[in-house]
Amino acid sequence: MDPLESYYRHITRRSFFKKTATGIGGLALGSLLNGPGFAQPADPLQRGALGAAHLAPKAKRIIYLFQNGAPSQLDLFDYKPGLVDQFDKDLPDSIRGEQRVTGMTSGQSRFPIAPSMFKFSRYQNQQDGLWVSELYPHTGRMANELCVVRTLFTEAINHEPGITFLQTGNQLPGRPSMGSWISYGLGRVNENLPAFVVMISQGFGNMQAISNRLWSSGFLPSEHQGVNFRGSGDPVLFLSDPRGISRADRRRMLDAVAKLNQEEFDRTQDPEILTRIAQYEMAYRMQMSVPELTNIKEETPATLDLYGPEVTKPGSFAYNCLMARRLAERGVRFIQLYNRGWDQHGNLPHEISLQARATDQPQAGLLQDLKQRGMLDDTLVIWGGEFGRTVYCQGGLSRTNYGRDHHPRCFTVWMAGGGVKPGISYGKTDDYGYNIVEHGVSVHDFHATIMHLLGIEHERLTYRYLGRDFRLTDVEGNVIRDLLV
Amino acid sequence: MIKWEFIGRLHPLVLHVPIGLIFGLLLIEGLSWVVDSGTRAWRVCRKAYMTLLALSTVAAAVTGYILSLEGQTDGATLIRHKWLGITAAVVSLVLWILTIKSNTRVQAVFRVLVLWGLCALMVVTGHFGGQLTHGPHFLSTHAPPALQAFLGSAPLETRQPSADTSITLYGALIQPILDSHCVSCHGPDRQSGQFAVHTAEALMAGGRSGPAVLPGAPQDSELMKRLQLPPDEAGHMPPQGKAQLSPVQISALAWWIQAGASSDPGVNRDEIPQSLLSLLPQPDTTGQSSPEEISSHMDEALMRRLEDQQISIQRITQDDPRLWISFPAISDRVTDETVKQLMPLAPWIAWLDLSDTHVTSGALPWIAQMPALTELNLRHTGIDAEGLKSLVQNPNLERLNLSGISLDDTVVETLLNMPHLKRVYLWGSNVSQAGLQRLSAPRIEVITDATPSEVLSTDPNAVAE
Ligand code: HEC
Repeated sequence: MDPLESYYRHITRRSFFKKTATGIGGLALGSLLNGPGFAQPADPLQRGALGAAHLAPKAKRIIYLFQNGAPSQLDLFDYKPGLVDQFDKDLPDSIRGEQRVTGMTSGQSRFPIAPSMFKFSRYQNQQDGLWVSELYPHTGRMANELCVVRTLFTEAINHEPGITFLQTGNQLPGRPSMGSWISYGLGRVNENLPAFVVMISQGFGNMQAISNRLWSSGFLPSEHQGVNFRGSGDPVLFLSDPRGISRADRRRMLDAVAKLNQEEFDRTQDPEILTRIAQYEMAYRMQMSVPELTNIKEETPATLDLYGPEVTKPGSFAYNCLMARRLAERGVRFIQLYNRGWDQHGNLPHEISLQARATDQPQAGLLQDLKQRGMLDDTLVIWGGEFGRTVYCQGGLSRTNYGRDHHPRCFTVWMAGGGVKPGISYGKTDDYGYNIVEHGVSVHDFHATIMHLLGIEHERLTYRYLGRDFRLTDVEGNVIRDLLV
Repeated sequence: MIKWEFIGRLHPLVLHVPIGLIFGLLLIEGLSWVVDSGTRAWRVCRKAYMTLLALSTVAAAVTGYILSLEGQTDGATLIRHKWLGITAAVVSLVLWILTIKSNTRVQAVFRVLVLWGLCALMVVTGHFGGQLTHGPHFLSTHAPPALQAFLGSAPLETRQPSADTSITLYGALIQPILDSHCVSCHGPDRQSGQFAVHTAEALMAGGRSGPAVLPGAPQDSELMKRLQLPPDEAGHMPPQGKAQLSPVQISALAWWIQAGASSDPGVNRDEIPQSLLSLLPQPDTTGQSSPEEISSHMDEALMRRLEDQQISIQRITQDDPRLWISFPAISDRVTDETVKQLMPLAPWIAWLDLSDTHVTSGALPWIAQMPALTELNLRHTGIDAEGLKSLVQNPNLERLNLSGISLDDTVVETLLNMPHLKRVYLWGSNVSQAGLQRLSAPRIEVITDATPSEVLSTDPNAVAE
């Protein structure tokens, strides 16, 4: 926005605040602060920076089940039966090509092939069936709903840049997270909850660090950063009123602080101050909405059963999946789960079994639950990590024990609902599960496709910063039309 | 080095000088009839004024002529403006000679007549000049009807897109965009850049820099380039400050050029991409077309009142006036009364999500009066099979979520009677298997839960076990 125009818009807002401070009281404050951030939009129907989606949205919201640490595609979804005969043979140089190798295996004298030790079954889907390993029986049974992409590829070979790339479209930190872009572009549906919520569950074995810059809003106004709902204690820190403070007292306090902030804003015109006022108001409203949200006693036993036995344990992946559904019902646009613990460089068979057990039933249960409620059609569920794992073994190799290093050239993600074709798989990898043979999907393509499902043309959601227009897909990205219904 | 173009572009500045001066001169002449004007001071003053007037009129004509050489504009209006302006310059010179020379009473009368003539000439010239800069209907648009007739240029009936499917795609989709945004500068009266777009032929003929539309190649077409330049860059169309095209309108033009830029009849509505359909006449949007227009018809105070209650009201897309309404923030407070409050918005409601609210069958007769409704979510509400009957009146209802509501088989008949129902969600609804069976063929898709996939085969040579 032209700075002068934005100044005048702020000035109009100031008169609003004056009115509320002296007149109908602070409660009206909240409703003045909707929309993309600062200015009271002239048109009451405007939401977010875009006002409304570019295209009629197929997905009204997203649940992203991020599998942090990089799950092995070879032991879960990318079935390579021919490798059994290749056990402990060297991966041909022609296959490995020029691929740079991480510091963890670059010292290895050979790259012996480690076939998956797990048994695969072919589940009926809308094509000629989907091969899924025995680690994922519940997920396999959802094959009719899954849209499996076997050929996502990335440029990063280490976790930090890898996750950052998938979450922000750039390997270097500092760009807004996907959820922040969505919150910025489309705004909130539910005024009592943030548009972008993050939940983390701990895994087994080797866990990679995860930090709040992954859900940061980067250069976007900071009210669009993800709000992390914690697994234990208060879901949102410092949300409850201290003992002896009533809600009316809190209200009076907030009104007074808002007035001071407003004075400061009038003086400095720093938009971040408005963001701060908005966040105080949001927190106030969340004092009511969050306890209601986390009250899972109202769920029927049948529903809880879908998610498996861990569902009542706050902080577990199963609990977070259930929460994700409850957030989706309450209009939250972007629900980002991080499930840690997939980084199996050694002792893979044992550790992946634990990881799979913790995720299989909950994620299948989430799909079933959404389906039953008629929500799967307009909720996009995404499952996947930051890259894949190598077909060659890291460390000692036996038929039943091996490790795998990071593999950027191809990995499997799946999506369900929200306008993607159900019951298909897309893309082919070579016999070693090492290179893409057909239909590679870059991270930018993946982002462009997700945005498209939400009704956003990825080239047209931009933010001017440091003198240039930024977007989630940078200067790349094509919508993969083959994945859309 | 001063460029000629620069001199030409001084025209808008220079032209106002003679207009101001001529009225001053009229005043002087008028006064000289009432007061004693025989003095030397009067004569000097009149002559000085006249000299300035003649000089500035000639300057205006010369700069105007140079400007016209740039060829930015073409057309009948320009030609009229040009020749009237040159005539005015000549007349002003004649008047100047008369003023310097004339001393007899008769000559003085003649001189005043010429002065009035010049004044009239300038008004007319100025009017055409104004049409060139502001478009032909600038003055007449809001003029009283009698005056409009006099001005002889009542605004054209804006061509309304018609819902008739036999019309050409060009006429339905493309020409209306050009009519509303470009024809004022690129039409019959004025052809900026020697380019006109009021007919398909003119559009395809191109402008000063050649063809503006290259069929099949939107990215190389001058027209698309102009539309897609940043708005603040010179050459962006429509020029900054004028009403801009919406993104959908731009994609419509791009799509049409890509598809061959044909104005022949016979293009099928089905071939038009979904995203552009909003530009075509919608059967159910009561005549208005742009979302802005629609919003101005929706009661703004009402809208704010609803938003204050934390009802979420938003547009489905930027260019679609239809609304998506949901209540996630207040679902436990929503009752039939809440639905009733929405009725002033009824013509525009397309998606209505009442899931997990206290709505009962009492709300359904209201909902039945929402003609644009395509998606209705009643999951976990208190409605019953009897109440649903009123929904057979909704002509466009395609998706209906009834999951988690206790119903019975009588609902099957009702659902089959809904003319456009495509998907119905019935998980946990107690409708019998036979009932579901009856429903699912062939038009309606019934969704209850995800059927677990069967295992078709299992890897024979797995290592495990
Ligand atoms: C306010 C007047 C105005 C409006 C409205 C306007 N234009 Fe123009 N247009 C001009 C002027 C003046 C020029 C010549 C200067 C230039 O080339 O930039 C021009 C030039 C052009 C040219 C280049 C012609 C050539 O061959 O050099 C194209 C193409 C064009 N306009 C397209 C459009 C389109 C399409 C629209 C409607 C969306 C439009 N214009 C609306 C004033 C206008």
